[in-house]
Amino acid sequence: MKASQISQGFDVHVEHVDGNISFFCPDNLSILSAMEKAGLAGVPVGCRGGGCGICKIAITSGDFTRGKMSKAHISDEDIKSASVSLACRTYPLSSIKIKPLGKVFKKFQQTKSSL
Amino acid sequence: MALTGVLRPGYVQIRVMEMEPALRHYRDLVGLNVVSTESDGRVYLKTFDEFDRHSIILREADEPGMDFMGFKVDSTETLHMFKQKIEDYGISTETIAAGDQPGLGERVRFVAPTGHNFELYADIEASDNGPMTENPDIWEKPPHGMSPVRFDHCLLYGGDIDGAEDLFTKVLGFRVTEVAKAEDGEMRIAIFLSCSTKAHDIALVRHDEDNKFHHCSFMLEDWNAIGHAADIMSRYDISVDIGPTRHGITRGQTIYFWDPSGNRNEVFAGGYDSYPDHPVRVWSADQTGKAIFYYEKAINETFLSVVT
Repeated sequence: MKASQISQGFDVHVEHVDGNISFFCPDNLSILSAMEKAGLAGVPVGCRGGGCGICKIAITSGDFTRGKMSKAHISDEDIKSASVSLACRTYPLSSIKIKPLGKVFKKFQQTKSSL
Repeated sequence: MALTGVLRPGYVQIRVMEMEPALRHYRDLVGLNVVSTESDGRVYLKTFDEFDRHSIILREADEPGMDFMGFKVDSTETLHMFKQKIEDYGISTETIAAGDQPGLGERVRFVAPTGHNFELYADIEASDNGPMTENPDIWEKPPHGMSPVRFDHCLLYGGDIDGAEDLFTKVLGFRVTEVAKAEDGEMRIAIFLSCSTKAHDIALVRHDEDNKFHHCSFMLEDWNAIGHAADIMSRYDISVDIGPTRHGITRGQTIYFWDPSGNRNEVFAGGYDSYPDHPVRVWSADQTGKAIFYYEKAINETFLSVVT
């Protein structure tokens, strides 16, 4: 394989209550897209557009850049502190460690008063 | 005229975080036509088959969601009558003068018990690019993208959907066509309301946060068009929620997908016609999966949680 065909990117480590997972995040893919393409779960997947806040993560170590996200879920302060983000709009610039923070999906069967 | 009062959903203003990707989505892929771009940055769009000037308004903002949804009423007299009735009911209204939005006449705005902004209006300019009326061909130019026929309805999430049902039925002349109930067999968790012979013109789901937007829906011609829309979604990597599938409620054949800011869209076809003498269709809690997604017989996780 030619060197140019080897995709560049960084490792993502997800600390999860059900067990940690790791995957490779190629350049130009968001953390969430890379996780989905790797066939893994761990960070909840919602709109994939920075709008719904389901894939909110804490970044415990590593550098990253990010795209536009809803102010309803990521405040200016969150942007400054660089410790909270949405996985669907976060692009690693180094190996990175994250922890899912988003609201847990409601299971319908357990829900009595709301759909 | 048998259909009076509120005629139909006419427009919805959607907040998007970046206009260019939003336009690529709504204009190029969904297949709406741009009517105008105004000096404040808002972009007005419509389907190929709508007579009125515009139906979808995009506004760039820091967070996605719905600013307001407008319903067209049959006359200015009716508009003023509804304003009075809403005030008498105990909800304050605001009258917005003609011309505040391009092509749009006087509007009456109010906030529903679910926290959503609604508007009524009687006058809007006719589109100069609407359907033909003399020896009308099915279209003047072939529609593009998913070929949406019309902006059809919205599903909105909020707390007091019983209050909203009361307002829409007692004051605005809507009727309930279908409901999904909670496990107690009483509480309504989803309410489908019609002001026409459609199965729904607006739907409401009980939610712990007010003023949330679940989706706006575009009607397509038929099941084949749904398949073509699915092809476009795969080809251009549109984020898909679920589908193609069918709803038990309304019987509509459907795909849910997201715009680049995370606002959910639906394309749908089919569904039953409703009339004022029809009884309400009721789904019990144990059948909610089938009610929402008839083939999967289960609700996907995102249906419940992902709103803007």
